[in-house]
Amino acid sequence: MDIDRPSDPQVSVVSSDGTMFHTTLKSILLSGTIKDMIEHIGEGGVENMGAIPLQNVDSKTLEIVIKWIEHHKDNIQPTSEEIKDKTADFIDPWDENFLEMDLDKLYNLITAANYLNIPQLLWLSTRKIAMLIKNRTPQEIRSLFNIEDDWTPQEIEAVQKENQWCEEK
Amino acid sequence: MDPLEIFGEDISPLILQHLSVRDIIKCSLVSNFWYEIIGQNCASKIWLRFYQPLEDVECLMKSKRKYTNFKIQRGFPEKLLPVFNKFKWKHVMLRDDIEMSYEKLVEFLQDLSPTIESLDLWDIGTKNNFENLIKIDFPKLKKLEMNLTTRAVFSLFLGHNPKLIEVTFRDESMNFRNVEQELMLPSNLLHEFLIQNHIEILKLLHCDWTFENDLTQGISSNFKRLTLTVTTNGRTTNMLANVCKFIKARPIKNVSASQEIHGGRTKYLTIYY
Repeated sequence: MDIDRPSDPQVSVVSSDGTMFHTTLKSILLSGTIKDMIEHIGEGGVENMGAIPLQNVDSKTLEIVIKWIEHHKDNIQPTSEEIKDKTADFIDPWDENFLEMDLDKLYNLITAANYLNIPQLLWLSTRKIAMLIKNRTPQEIRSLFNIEDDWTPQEIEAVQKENQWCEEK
Repeated sequence: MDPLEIFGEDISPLILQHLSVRDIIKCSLVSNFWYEIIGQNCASKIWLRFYQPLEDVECLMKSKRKYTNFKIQRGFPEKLLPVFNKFKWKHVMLRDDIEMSYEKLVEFLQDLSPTIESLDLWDIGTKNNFENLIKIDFPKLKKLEMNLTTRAVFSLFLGHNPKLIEVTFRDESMNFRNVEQELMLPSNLLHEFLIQNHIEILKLLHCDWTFENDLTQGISSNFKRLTLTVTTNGRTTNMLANVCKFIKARPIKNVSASQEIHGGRTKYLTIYY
């Protein structure tokens, strides 16, 4: 479907907890999942289409997603093929700033980006978690995510041995 | 909140994929659960990438685990030789190394050839001139994915590949203008490749060619599936002409069209035999 058209009609989406959000077609098409739905309806159906129910996204998360897609609606989005080989040369400062949120919200955002199939947002949000892990020792990672240290005494010796190189730094 | 526990096997690899070899190995020491998950993922869904080859090689040499999946970016192969001998690599992606000389590429693939099971070559070309084309045998290779860049690179796979059943070719030859005369892959060379091997699944992506004859003629009777991409940029006519040839030549069980799950720009047409 060619989305290059002069007008950018309004589209509504409804979160799992029943809140309705209004955004534009151009923005919402960044979601591969919704794009597929709309392609099934056909272009002409968009104007008459009711609000799109999103049963796996709550209102707090949907609000965040909409903020992101509206900001990026005019940017060319990479395909999942392109994302697969993407290396982080440059991250838009707006995105860096946007991703400053607590873990809870970030986890929900990742789940939503995956469900809605927004490759770039999924890439950015998973990268954010990876950046938290990077340069931290296993112990620091455990405290960050509240993970129990469940190594048995037998295992611990072997683990510590293998661990040496990363505690040295 | 343990992210790997929350996200499970679909999303966890996407997180880990952003990390270097060093960080991934470090993560496997967080807990039993992380150790398991990372072990499983390293065998199937995530690739160890070398960002700082020297450090990464050092920590891999100390690791007791068996890592088999490696993704190699520009310019690293030689530095990785010790790791390569230690782990007997099974799955390798080699990316974006157009500067590599033909001799080096041959050497690298010859080292890999005894153990490699799946190989993905992306934008591997070569600027050298060469007179003798070399064929390499890959006794364990099951899956091959590559951009078709030059004839010389393609010819490396015209050796003996008894296990090879799944092949994906993407035609990127247009991006290699510097080697233009060398590369045009004639369909008879591709046909030779298909006849020599026992391919079951063949994918031709962005291959905007008109084949001289039906590529499936004379090839293994195990041939099960052919996928072609139908691109949206006006190449469709050639693709359809090709499809007609395939359809005429062999009895077909089913034909299905689908769109790429992510991105959605490319349409696939799959023919089941």
